[in-house]
This record gives sequence, structure tokens and C-alpha cells, in this order.
Amino acid sequence: MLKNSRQFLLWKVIIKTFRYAWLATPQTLMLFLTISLVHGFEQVLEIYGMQLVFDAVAGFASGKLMIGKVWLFIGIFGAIALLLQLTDAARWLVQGHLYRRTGCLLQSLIHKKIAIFELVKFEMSDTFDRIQKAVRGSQEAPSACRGVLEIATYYLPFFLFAAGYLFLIKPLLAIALLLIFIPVFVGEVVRANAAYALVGETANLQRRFAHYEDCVAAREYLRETRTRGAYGFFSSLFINCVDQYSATIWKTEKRLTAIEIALSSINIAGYICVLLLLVKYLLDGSITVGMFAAVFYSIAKVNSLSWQLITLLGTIVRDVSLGAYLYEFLQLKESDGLTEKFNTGCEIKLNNISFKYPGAENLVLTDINLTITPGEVVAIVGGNGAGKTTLTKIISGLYRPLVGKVTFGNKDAAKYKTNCLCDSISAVFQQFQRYQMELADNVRISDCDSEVDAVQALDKAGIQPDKKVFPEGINTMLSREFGGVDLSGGQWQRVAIARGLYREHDLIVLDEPTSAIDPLEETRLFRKFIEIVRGKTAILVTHRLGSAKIANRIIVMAHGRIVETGNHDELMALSGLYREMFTAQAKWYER
Amino acid sequence: MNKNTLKFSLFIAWKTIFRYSAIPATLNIILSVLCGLTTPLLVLFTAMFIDSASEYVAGAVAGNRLLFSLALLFALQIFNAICNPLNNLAQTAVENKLRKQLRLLLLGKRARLEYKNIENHDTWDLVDRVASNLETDGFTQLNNNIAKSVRIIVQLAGTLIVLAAQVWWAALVIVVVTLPLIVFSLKRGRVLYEMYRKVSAMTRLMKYYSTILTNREAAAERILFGFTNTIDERFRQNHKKRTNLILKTITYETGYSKIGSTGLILCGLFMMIILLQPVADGRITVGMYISLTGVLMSVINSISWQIKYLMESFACNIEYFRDFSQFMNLGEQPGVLDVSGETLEFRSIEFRSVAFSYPGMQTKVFDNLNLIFERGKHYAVVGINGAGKSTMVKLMTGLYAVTGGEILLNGKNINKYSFRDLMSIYSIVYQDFAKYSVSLRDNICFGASGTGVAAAVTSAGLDELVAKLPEGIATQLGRLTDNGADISGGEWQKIAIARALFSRAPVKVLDEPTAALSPMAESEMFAMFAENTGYDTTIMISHRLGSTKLADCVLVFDKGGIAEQGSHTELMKKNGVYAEMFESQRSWYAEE
Repeated sequence: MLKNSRQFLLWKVIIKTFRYAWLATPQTLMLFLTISLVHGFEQVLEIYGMQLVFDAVAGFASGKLMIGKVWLFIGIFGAIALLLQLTDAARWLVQGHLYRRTGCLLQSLIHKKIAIFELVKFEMSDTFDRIQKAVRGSQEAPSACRGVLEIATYYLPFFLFAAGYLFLIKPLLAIALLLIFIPVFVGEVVRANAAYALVGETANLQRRFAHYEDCVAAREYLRETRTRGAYGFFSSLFINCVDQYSATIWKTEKRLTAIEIALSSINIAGYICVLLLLVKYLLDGSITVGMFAAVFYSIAKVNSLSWQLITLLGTIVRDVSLGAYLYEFLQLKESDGLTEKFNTGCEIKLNNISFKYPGAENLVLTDINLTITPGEVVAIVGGNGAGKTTLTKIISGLYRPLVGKVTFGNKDAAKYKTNCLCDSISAVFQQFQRYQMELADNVRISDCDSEVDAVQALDKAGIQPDKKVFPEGINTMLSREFGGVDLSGGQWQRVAIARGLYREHDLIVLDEPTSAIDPLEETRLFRKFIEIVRGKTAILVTHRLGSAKIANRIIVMAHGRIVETGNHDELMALSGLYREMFTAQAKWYER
Repeated sequence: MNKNTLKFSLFIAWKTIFRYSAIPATLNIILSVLCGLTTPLLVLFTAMFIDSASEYVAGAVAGNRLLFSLALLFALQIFNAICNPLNNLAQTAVENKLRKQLRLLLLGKRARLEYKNIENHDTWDLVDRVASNLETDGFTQLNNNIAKSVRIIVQLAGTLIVLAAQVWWAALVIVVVTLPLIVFSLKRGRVLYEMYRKVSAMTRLMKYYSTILTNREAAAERILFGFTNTIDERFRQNHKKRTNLILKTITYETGYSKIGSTGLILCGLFMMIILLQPVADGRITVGMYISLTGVLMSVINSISWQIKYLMESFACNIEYFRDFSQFMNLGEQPGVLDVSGETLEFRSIEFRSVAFSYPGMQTKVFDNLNLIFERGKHYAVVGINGAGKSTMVKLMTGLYAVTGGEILLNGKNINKYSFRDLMSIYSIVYQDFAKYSVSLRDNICFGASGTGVAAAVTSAGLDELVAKLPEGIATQLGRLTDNGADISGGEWQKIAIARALFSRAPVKVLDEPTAALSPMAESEMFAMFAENTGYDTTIMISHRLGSTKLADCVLVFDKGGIAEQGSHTELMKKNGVYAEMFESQRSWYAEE
């Protein structure tokens, strides 16, 4: 039962990929099928052409045939052989093109599928695993599909034509071919299994010795390993591990070699049978010398094509199972929800919100109740791991609460799709991205459809695209790899701020937007934020309690709960956690 | 000139292969020759078989000769069936030897590299390329390619010799006709190289777009900003352009290689025609004619693909060894791998009019830096980003050499000390400290059999963690093995500190503890550090001012030098840069 469903899946992979190949590039697909078919036919034609030539030569040698006739046959044979080369080249080109075009479409489908994932899914290692497998699948499914099509239009016809040709000469010869074919097949299956087992056995060893190499020489370890003089320690671990690895490979390879030699004895037996049959037919005069030679020649061809086919089958089986991951992934359900225009510039209400990460035991947020009025600036403070960032992600709709309700005005956020909630929300994340793109694109990526110039947002974030840092102004590529410049941590953070400000928004989340910026600048930027966010709802997360004073209201969090709220003075008067934290930090700054 | 150095390095590489794996590599070559020999032998034996069979039919020879030729053919099959797998086995043996020896060679070289090579983008790229392509493009691949070439050459040359033995001029004519064609088809030239470079640049860009559309790191921005469609459009445009360029490139390339195989086929046809007369004359037998034609035609196809593949692969080898020679010529820091000796006594480190700029950079980090660290004092080093705080650490640990002035350790220039002696002075917790996937114990002492580990564990506050771990201090950390323990960032940080405490080095340096740490946690870390280092000298580097009051002396870095120094109180009185920075942070905490 299970096996059946799996086989069904395998066929589904092929058929679906075929359909996508058709969608991606119908002309290439048709061309590919035609060329394959022609190519397989030509292979047999070549064998027949050779038979004609050999018979003619034998006739010529015994003086029965004129030399002109022989030339003619050689000419025909030559034409076939050259045509075969041409077709071979064309097939090679077309199959690669088909593979790449189909792959592009499939990868694009993955991108679009990922776009509708909820953020929380990225907290699960399972999701990441699936994505990786799907990406692998998008590379392997086209090759599996191509392989199956090649079998259908090239290998199978060729073997049928060849068997037919041999059958016409002598029926027994066609059967003898199987004797050659089967050992090759069995051998390859054994080999593939052993190779598979080997990968399993050695993968961990390989990972380990690669890590020990890294411990000595990778950038994140090198300086420390060097200054602590730990080279000897790691290199001996490395040697030990690499020795084990090599020993395992050697053991398996030795076994494989023995198996291969044993199996080829069956192959040779088949070969002997065919040869003996040929001798018999030749002796009783039922085949000509030309036929004999052509059969002899065709055996070599069948043999080499069988090898190719078996190898191909092996890769198809592997590829198709990876391809299955792709379609499994593409079938994942999209979350339901409304998609109408959504306004976030209204009163935001959080009702008894609790949240935990999937698979985690403890709640990250517990019983959060909060109302944010339009245009209010709210600061969230608290220690490491208090749930500040998580709360901002709940408000911006990136995470959905486990319990409780978020409402914008009179609309229940749960009923809407994430992307429409996000429509008028912007953010500067703590873990902002450094896009390897041009400066302008790095800013405009937050609102791709907007036509507004990036300069204004950059200016607000304190970046003047001067020629010294940005040789090509706002079109400077911010990546060494793509031939541009690299920025310092502080500059990158400003770019991220500009990105957040560029996006059209009613609500903005600023999650520790200045952690990499030095104190003098930090102060200046914070004061500027007050101006920039005026009239918009803003949520500011900060470690630096002093800076929270710019907010209309401060929320103090501890262990996933809101423990205090109020403005600075009110909180100080409370003599609670806020006051304790504030004085602890302020202490450093007493004169 | 350029070409000569290339050949030279391939040759050197080949010699290296033989140095490290003489016996398997020799066997590999011998077996390749034997495998290649089967083709000309097949021609001979098949001819013999066909001739004896048809003569037997005609009653001209006895059955013995037919049986003998049959036996030869079978023997050849068996020979072939044994030779090939054995050859693969020899290849595996070569791979095994090379893997260990060359990786070790590379590892040692990488460990000894001058530090500037590691921070330089271009050289680091080079190092990365050389290390990660070692097996795919480097020595192992070169060995395989050479073995394959030997085999093909034996196949073709052997068949030609068989032909020459029959009709010598036919062989000559064929060589004269086809050799130029084949050489032409192998010379693929610069055009193709340029095309490949363009393709690989496009591939990187395409992969980058795909990465930000699929990875976890960009997920939050991707969802909020909704840029998938725009970037996916770019991805597809780029992919399409790349695919078309690849098609063009491969067409070009396949065209060239097909010119070669067409040449081979034409030569086969040509041979079929010119041999007709000798067949008529009886100078060669019909069997030989058929056998030569049949075998040649059947190997042409596979050989032409193999040659194409080999040429591509050799091109990669050449590229690789160009990188490799460059890599081996990178400068090394002497004495890096020496085993540490005694810990030096520490009195002071002094920077005297030090000037420094990073190699290849115009801007000076330091112009005239003067400072002194003395035994037993606690120092804090502050300053804005890019003021040179971390550079100072790199200079005093000798990772970079000063461009002007001198650095004195105990009054003697640090150049006069060996790297190990210098290192025995310092114990540094770096901003991005290393997280080794080895046991907790080895993370602290690197296999040393010291007794101080337990004390360091306790001082760093790790006792709780050790009690929690399944195998205590011997537990493997990280995800390298199945039973490895995954620990939190804070716990890793404590391990880094334990590592520093375990060291007997008299100067402890905290180099900008991670920015992700909250100011509170950071000052706790400073406090813990100061508490546990006792009479040692400590140097704490930070761009936050919180901890400065713990220090005996605060050094304020600004514009390539020390702007101010003194205790917190002194500096506040001075009302300069430090006071301004302090005020600006303090103002947030002022009671209004």
C-alpha cells in the first residue's frame, strides 16, 4: 500500500515536471523529444549502414562487386555517421536548455510559495529543512523528467530498433542481448546501494574533519586558535578523523571492486554466448560476414548504451525522490484570510495575548493587554529575553498570537492575511538585512512599487551619498562580491533605518535601531526619530532606558509579561523594575 | 612567458602527486596504459577471429586457429573486466593519500599565513578557493585527468600502430589530416573563457536573489516588505539571460569539440576508402578492414566526449594551480606553529610614536600613537567606531607590523620576541570568540593536561552548566555529533571567559564584547572579569562607557591617537571628548 502510493508519487513527479517544462518552454520540449527519437533511430541506422559497407567490402574483395558500389555505401554510412554527430550535439544543447528553463520556473514557484509562509514557520528547523529539500528537488526534478523522456524517446526506441534488427537477422540473437544487459543492471544496483551506504557512514566523519580544518583556518576561528597556540590539538584531531574516513572508503571500494569483477564474469559469459552463436550462424552460412561484423559492432553499442541507461536510471531514482519533496512543498496550504485594504493608523488593541514558539515549552508572552492610540510613540524596555521583539512582531502581524486577539480599529487581525496586515507597517529590525544590491535598491526594497526617490530617506537616516564612501552615489553596489564597496556596521544600520523610513507606513517598529552606532550619533538619531515619526504610530524597542524617554508611554517587560506601563516620571514614581533598571544604568553616568 | 609558468605549475603538481602517493599513482598510470591497450588488441584479435572464421567456412584453415582466436577474444574481455575496476581502486588509493597529505599541507599553510592575508578580501577569497576546490579541481582531479589522457592516447596511438603495421602510409596520411583538426578543436581560446566568467558572475547574482527569497535571515523583512515578486522577477530575468548565454557558450564549445569528432569520423571514412585497394590487393585481410573500421567508429564517439570533458577539466586544473601557486607564495608569519614554551614575565607594553595603516589602504589608522600599559593595572579603552581600538590589539599581539614607530614589551621591541613568547603574554576574549565543536573541557584547555580547568570553570560561573550536561565537562558541544549538546549564546560567552582565565598569560584583554549584549550584561561581564583576574593586568575595550569607572586608567581613542587619558574622575574634570561622550549618554538618564 505504502509502496504503491510512493510509486504513484514518483510518476506524479515526472508528470508534473513534464507539465512545468511545457509551461516553461514548449518549443524546447518538443524539439527535445523529436531530436531524441531521431537520434535513437540514427544509432540503429548506423549499424545497418555498417553492415552494408562490410558486405560490400567482402563482395569487393572476392571480386564480385565494383569499387564504385563500395564507395556509394561508404558514402551513405559516412552521411549517417556525420548526421549522428550533429544530432548528438543538438540533443546535448537542447536538453541542457530545457533543464535550465524548467528549473528557473520551479525555483520561482518555490520563491512564491515561501512568500506566503508565516514568519513563525522560519523558527522551525523543519521548515528550513523542507525549503532546502524543495530547492534540491527543483534542481533534480527537471533532470529526472528529462531522464524519463530520454528513456522513452531515445533509449527504449533504440533498444527496440536494435532488438528488431537482430531479431530479423536471427531471433536468438535478440534474446542473447539480454544476457549482456542483465549483469550490467545488477552490478549497478549493487554499486548504487554500496555507494549510498558509504555516504551514510562517512558523512559524519567528513563533517567532523571539515570542522577541525575550520577550527584552524576558518576566519571565525583562526585568530583565536593562533593566539592560543591550539594548532597541534586540532591538527591531530583532523589527522585522526581523516584517517578513519579514508579507511572506510578504502574498505568499501575494495568490496565494490571484488563485486564488480565477479559480476563482469556473468557479462563475459553473455558475451561468449553471443559470439558462439555468431560463429555457429557464420559456419552454417545463415549470416553474411557483413552481418556478422555489424552484429559484433552493435553489441559494443548496446553494451555502452546499457551502461548509460543504467546510470541514468540510478540518477532518476535518486532525483525523483528529491523531486517529490518539491511537489510536497508546493502543495503546502496557504493560510486563509481576507485580502482587502487594511489600515493600521487606527487604535491597536491587544487582548489577553499569549504566544510561544512552535515546539517550545514556555510561553514567550503571557497575558498581554495593551491599547495603542493612533500617533502614539510607545517604547518597550526590558532585559535580554523579556519578549520585547516578539511583542513587536505580534503587533505587526508577523506572528499570530496563540491565545487572545489583536484588533485594528474594529477589525480582527486574525481574519486577514499577513501580507495585507503588513501593507501599511514598516520596521527597522534588530537583525536587519545587508542586501548585496545597490544603495538605492537597499532602501527601495522595503516598498518596491513606490516611485519615490531613495535620497530623502537616506538623508533622514544620516547618510549623504558622498563620493568617498559611495563612488557611484546611490547606485553604488554595496557588495564586494558584485564589484562594489562594503560598509561598516554603523553605516549598514543607517541604511536599514533609511529602508524602514522609506516604506509608506502608518505604524513603524524600531527594534534597537542604533545598536551598532556610536554613542554620540545614537543620541542625535534618537532625537531625530522623534521628528520623523511625528503623527505616526511608532513602537521603539531599546536597551538604553534613557532613550525611552522620547516615547509617550513606556512599557516595561519581564519574562514575557508587561510589568509596568506609564511615562518616565510615572514609572520612576512607581519604584518598581523600571526605576531599578534606570538607576542601575544611570549609576554609570553619575558624575 | 605566461604559458611557461602554467605548464611549470602543472608539472610541479604532478610531481607532488607522485611524492605523496608514488606507488598508487604509478599503478594508476600502468593500469591506465593496460586499459588503453585493450582497444588496439581488440582490433587485432577481432581481425584474426573474422579472418579465421571466414577461412574456416571456406575450408582453408583448421578449427584450431578459430578456437585460438576465440580464446584470445575472451581473454581480452576478462583482462578488460579486471583492469578497469583495479584501476579505479588504484585511483581511490591515490585520492586517500592525497586527501590527507594535501589537506594537511594546506592546513599548515593557512595556519601560518600572515594575518593581513586573512583580513584582505582578495587573498582570503584566494585561500578559500584553493581550500574548497582542492579535490574537485586540484591534485586528485589532475591525477584522474592524466590517467584518462594516458588511456586515450594509448587507445588512439595503439590503433594507429596496428594500422601502420598493415599499411604504413595510411597511418601517416591519417595523422597528417586529423591532427591539425583535433588541435584546432581543443584550442578554445579566450572567447570561451570570458563567456564562462560572465556566466559565473550571473550565476552568483542569481543565487543571491534566490537566497534572500528563501533564507531564514531575511524572512521578517521579506514578509513585511513583500518584495518577493519584485526580486523574483529580477531572478527570472537574470536566470533567462544566463540560460541564453550558457546556450551560446555551450553551442560554441560543442561546435568546437564536434569539429574534432567530425574530423575523426572523416578520417575513419577516409581510411575506409584508402584501405579498399590494399584489401583488393590482399595486402590487408577483410577481417582487418572490418575490425579496424568497426572498432574505430565505435570508440570515436565516446572518445570525443571524453576529450571534451578532459579539456574542460584540464582548464580547471590550470586555473586551480595558478591560484595554488599564488596561495603557496603568500607570506607567512614565522614561528606561529611553534609549541609554547615558558610564560614571559610582564612589566609593560609601550607604544612609541606608532603609525599604522592597513596594507593597501591610504588612510592612516594611527598617526602618532603613544601609550603604556603597566603591570597590575586595569585599563579601559573607549572611542567611537573606527577609532582604532581593535587595531591596537592586533598591533600589540603582532598580527600586523607597525608602519612607523615601535612597540616595546618590557622595554624591548616586540619584533625581537618569537611569536609564541609574545603570545604567552596575552589572553584575549575576542568580540567574535570561537565556538569549537569539541568537548567543553577542550574548549577551555585544548587538550592540555592542566589542573586549572576546574578552577576556570568555577570562576567563569559554568558549574551549573557542567552539572546539567550529560557527560559533565567531557560533553561534546555543538551539533557535530549526535550526542553533542547545544548551549546558549550566554553559556558560550562564559566558556570564552573560562578559556581566558585558564590561560596563565599575565595580560587579559576583552576586545569589544559582543554588541548584542545589553549594557547591563556587558557591565556584569566586565565586573566578573575584573574580579577573577586579581593582580593581572586587564585591558577592556568597548564603545560603551558604562564600565569605564572600574578602570584605573581610561584611554580615549580619537582621530588616530589618544585624545585623552586618565581616571574617570580626571577625564570628567577635563571636560573634553570623554566628558562629551559621557554627557551625551548620561543626558538620557538625567533627572529633569
